[in-house]
Amino acid sequence: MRRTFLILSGILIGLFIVLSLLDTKGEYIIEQLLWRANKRLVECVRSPEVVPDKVFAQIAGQYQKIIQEHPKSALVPSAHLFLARVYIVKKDYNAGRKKLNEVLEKFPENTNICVEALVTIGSSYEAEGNWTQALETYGKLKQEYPLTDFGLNIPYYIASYYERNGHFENAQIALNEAIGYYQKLSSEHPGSAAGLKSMRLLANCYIAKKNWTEVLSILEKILTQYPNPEVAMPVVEAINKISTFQLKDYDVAISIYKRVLNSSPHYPLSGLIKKVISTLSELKNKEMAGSTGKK
Amino acid sequence: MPRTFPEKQVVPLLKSAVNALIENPIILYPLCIGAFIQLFVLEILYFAPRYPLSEFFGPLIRHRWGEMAMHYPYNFFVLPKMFYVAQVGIYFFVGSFLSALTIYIISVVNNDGKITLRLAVKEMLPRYVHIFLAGLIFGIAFFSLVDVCQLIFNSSLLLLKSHPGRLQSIKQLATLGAPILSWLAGVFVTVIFAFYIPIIVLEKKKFLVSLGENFRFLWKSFWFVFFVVLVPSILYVPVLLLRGNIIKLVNDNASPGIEVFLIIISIFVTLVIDGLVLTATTTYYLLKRENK
Repeated sequence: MRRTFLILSGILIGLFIVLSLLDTKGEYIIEQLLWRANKRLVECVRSPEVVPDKVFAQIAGQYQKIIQEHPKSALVPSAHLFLARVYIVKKDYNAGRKKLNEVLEKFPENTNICVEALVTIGSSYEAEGNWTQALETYGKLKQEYPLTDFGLNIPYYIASYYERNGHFENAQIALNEAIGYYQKLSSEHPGSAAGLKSMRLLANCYIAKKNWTEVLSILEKILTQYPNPEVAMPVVEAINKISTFQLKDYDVAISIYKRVLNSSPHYPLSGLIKKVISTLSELKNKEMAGSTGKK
Repeated sequence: MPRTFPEKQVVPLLKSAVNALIENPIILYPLCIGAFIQLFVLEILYFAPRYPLSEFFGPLIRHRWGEMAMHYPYNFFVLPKMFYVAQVGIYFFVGSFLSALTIYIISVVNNDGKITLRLAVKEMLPRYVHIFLAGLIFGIAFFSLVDVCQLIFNSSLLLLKSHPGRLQSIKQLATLGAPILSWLAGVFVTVIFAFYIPIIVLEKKKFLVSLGENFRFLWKSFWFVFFVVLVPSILYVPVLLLRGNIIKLVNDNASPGIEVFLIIISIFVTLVIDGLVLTATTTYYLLKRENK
């Protein structure tokens, strides 16, 4: 029995060794190395002031090792990006931006990496308090990658920045520019993911201006043009909240839903919308009954 | 092996089971083979996202669990599910047969006979179909009851969801207890079918007749057998709690591969539990049969 036990253990250990040796340079191993380096970097982000320089050097070394030993890996652009982030976290912004510009030069065809690099450059300027340069970077991002998530977000982000930092006049100007920009984009890309995102951001701009009528108008268009449950649920929630708490008028929401239903004879989410109309009508009747009773 | 011990006393029976395993380690031989098969399959699944196994497993994993399941560390969230599917297959086709071999070995050792694994396989192979069908019935009952418990549990938690306050605390406590409830359900099913395979092996009866005999035998000593199964099964509770908190462990500092480590521990713990339970229940059955 002992011999059998040794043979079986030998098979398991031998198989483990053989399979490990057969794949020492594969993408999986690089993912593992990258994940470990990223985990250490995330720990440093919590309180970078107390992290010794040699720890940053070690983490940077891990990324550099991946880049040098696996130059053809699809994960090398990400490794470059994370290496740049090590410098940013360490607050060595110039070194970080230098690395990020290298990323832009080396991998111009990799849209995701270039967008991340530009966002990180912009946020590094913001962290330094250099809004002018940050704005220039975000402008470049918006121009070169207008339909990416980050690119689409830029006009609204700029307006939010001004709002957060107390520059209310600039915030209003930026909001108006953003509104024009998103209206143009949503009409140029109807029915697409970019069109939907533009309309959502347009709604956010009107929410920031507290222009509830316009917000509801945009949300109605989203419901009509994008009749799928994942999109509809948050939109229905938003319409209900605005009608109930901001406008204090159930009829506004009910009219919107009736128009949405009438927009197409076979509206895919008619069951859901009818249920919402019914619920809102009940709430309206209860409220009216309550206020009549009080009188 | 000891021939007598106080009637219906859990601790002496379990003690005699432990002594039997120590004095006759051959009893554990089939269960060790079962553990080896599980570890082998686990190893294959561990390396499935990597070359060269990814050439074969890649399309299957992508189709069932998506592209992320082929990448570190997300493959470790899918690995337990893949292993669970494999374990079910291993149990149905091999596990119940290995349990039958264990029971047969116990019966021979009980009579102070000499036995080897080869002889036991030769004896039990003609009974494979009945053993397989018995394992199938047990397995269906086991997995169904555990799944039903989880379904009832999850539905109850959903009902509690909209009620904050004191009910939220109950919900949190209940969420922690969910794996324990499933474990208890598993213990219960094991007790219900405790003598099913022993009767097929020792009395050489067919699987349907043995099922009836199992319930008749169990009827007289249900609670005794329940505690005989429950006490060794408690060894699995720490593993259950660790596996239930795996996400927290990974977030705190552990490597994602810790799930594999926990599965390995669970295989060995289950081996010990199965060894104790099979030895105790078979010994009890043999003694009751002798005393008739």
